[in-house]
Amino acid sequence: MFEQLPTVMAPWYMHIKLVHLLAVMVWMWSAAAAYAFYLVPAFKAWRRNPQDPQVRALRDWTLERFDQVVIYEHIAFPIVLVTGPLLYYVGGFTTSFAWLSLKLLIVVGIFIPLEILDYYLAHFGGNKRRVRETGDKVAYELAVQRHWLFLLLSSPVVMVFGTLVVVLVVLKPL
Amino acid sequence: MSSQDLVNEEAMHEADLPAWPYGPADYRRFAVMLSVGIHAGLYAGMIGLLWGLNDQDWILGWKPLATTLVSTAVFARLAYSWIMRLDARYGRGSGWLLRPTMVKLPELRAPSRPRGSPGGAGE
Repeated sequence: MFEQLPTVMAPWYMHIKLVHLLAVMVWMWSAAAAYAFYLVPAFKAWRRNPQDPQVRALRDWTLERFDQVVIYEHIAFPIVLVTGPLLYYVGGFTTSFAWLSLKLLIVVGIFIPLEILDYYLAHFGGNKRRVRETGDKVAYELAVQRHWLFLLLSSPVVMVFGTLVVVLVVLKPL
Repeated sequence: MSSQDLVNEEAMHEADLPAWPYGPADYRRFAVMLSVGIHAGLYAGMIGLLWGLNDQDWILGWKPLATTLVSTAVFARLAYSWIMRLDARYGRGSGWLLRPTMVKLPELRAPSRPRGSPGGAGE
């Protein structure tokens, strides 16, 4: 079946590429403005005024909204993961292309683990609204802090290596 | 209970909450660990894919290794300053005013229960 895939799907290569690129755009940028101009200011205010209850209330509300902001990103990511391998097979690519190998390593080794964590923090056990509804304020505070630590550490990684992936795909420098 | 009691009680609860446990030394350690881990993984992966699977030995030369080492150092420094800036240790954010304002923050309704379940629609 996989041997015939390039032949069967070849006429659809550009269509798959279009869907892949649109999904990558949504994945990369859909949460960026909310993150930079709403979430980060709220958290900076909290870091400078950690005992202020009003600042905490705004921080909590903003992060709970951000759990929803990433829904678009998290719909787009599986589309990227499906269309990417399709392009690989249909386009006749191999790991002998150094730019593609590096891109695949970044996606598999960095982005997929980060997104698994992000799905958990935003929609599953780490979802702040669900933790808040348990009434456990300490657990809620720990969930907020865990998510902030994730965002602190993942932001430079995502921005630098996300940009690098685009550079690799467009310029194919290796 | 007076309003002052409520404020005092709220302040007491705030004090009971766990404080943020990380500081600049932790951020430096995290940045170095992240950078070393990522670059070591990518470099090993490239050796595996290009040399191991495709017999391309240029990946074993000094240029890819030097590039990896320089990139590791640059990214560690960049990540550290990025984290410090995000965490309001320096950079923008210090000049903002915090004016107390009473607002109602919109919250989503709890999801409605399915029809036929206890307390759900149709009961």
